[in-house]
Amino acid sequence: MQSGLSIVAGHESTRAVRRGYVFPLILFATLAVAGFILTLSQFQSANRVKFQHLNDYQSAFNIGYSALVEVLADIQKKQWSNRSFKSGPKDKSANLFGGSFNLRVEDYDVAAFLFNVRVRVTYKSKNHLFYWRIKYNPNLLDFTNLFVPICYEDLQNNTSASSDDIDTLVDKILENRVANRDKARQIADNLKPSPTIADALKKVGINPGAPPGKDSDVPRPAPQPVVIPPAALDLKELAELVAAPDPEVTFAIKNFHFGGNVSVLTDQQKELLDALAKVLKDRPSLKIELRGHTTGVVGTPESNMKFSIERAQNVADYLISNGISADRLTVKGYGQTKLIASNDTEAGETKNRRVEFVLTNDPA
Amino acid sequence: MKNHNSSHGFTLVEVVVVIGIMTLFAAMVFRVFSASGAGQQRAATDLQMQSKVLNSQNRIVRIVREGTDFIIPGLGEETPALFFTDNENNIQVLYQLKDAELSKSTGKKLYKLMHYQVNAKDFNIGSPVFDPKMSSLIAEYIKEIRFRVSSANTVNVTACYATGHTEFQTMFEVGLQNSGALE
Repeated sequence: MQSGLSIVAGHESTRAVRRGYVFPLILFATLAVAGFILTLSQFQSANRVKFQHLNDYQSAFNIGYSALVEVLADIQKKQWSNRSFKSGPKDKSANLFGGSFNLRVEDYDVAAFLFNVRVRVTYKSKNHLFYWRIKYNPNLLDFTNLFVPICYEDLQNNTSASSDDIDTLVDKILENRVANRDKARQIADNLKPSPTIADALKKVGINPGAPPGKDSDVPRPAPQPVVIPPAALDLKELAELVAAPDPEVTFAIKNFHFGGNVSVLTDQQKELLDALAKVLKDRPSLKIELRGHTTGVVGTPESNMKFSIERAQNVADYLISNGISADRLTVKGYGQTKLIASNDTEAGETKNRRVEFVLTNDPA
Repeated sequence: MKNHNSSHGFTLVEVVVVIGIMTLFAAMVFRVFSASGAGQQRAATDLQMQSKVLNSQNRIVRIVREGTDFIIPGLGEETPALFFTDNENNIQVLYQLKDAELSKSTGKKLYKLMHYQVNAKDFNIGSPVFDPKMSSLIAEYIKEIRFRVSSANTVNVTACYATGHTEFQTMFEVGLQNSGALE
């Protein structure tokens, strides 16, 4: 004891001192670092858990929606008549995106192409049930009427994705939907023209005395009429389009050319003709003559003459179907007699395969 | 002497030195912690606010997803409230209310985002009655929120949340899950 407290000089004691405080130092340093790391990591993981939890619903929905899309893709691939659930309800279970789903698809009303998809999603020990009643549109080969009447969450007790009361509930919702339709339309029609948001809120009974929300008194813009720009019908003097125009031809539609040996109208040509039909409707006195032309590269002059008339006639038929009276249109064929460009080049041939029109009454 | 010394605990110098170092360490660690404490607290409130923002965003998404048609705003229009019909043809409204308390405590003009459902069946267009049971709080700390209908079934939501010292912005798009009716 005496020696333990005495202050001793010499190299023996320095060694003893060194050996003495290495251990407590290391112990303390380890404890301090461990404590620090523990505090920080706890802090971080607590927040991470919080964020993750908030996004669980979205993740579950993503899983459910992906499962649904797979079903729709399968119907598209196999055709409706070979759909996998034709002979009865079809179940599927799989793991996806860190969760799992349990899906049942079955016919609801075969005559109306209606079917139900129920997806039960388990994600992070929570259950969600998503329900879609879908109508297949056989004419468009598409599902144009997609409908999510309801999605349940946390159905811990309801273990089966196939329980019938959900169907009943969905039926009830759809019944209510039909019953409420006219009223909802009335309310919507009443709300839409509201000059301000405050006014619209008042119309649904939301307390006019309550402190107003931001910008609720700002006037809404007047409903703009929907303006669809007319198809770009580029009416130009023929001289601008071709080198040697027929002096009589007053107008041609730019880019109104046919493919080789084609007299049927393309969608693009129809669009141009729609615009022409509008011009003609706006000017009832206007009469036009349609002149079909061919290249003369193939066929005989006689067959080309017939073919050029066919081209012009198709244009006339289309205009007539758009409400232009037949007596305002004249159809002529010129076959290969009036080439406006050389047939040596592809571009020249395209220019020759055309229908021109001549104004027989001044547009004024 | 040598044996005696090494087998009988620490010398006074050892003890003094160790206690000194421990004090120094403790002081340093304490300083580091107390300095980061304020920052941490602020970070914690920011994180809390962020989770509130995310939370309300999720709620808005869930509500709007059940919709079938937008009423207000019109296509391309931007308004501070959203009116739409849901899958049962009831009218749903997301609107703002001025939050007097939070405005006072933060010194900023803050609003609450509220949800209200109009039951079409019982609704009287001529004399609308507010049913407090159909109203619920969606989000607080809102400085500004705007709804912009960008297509027949999509709405873009831009919102700014504010606390006393920080502002948070969020922008997201919600699509109606209901395209067309089945009836």
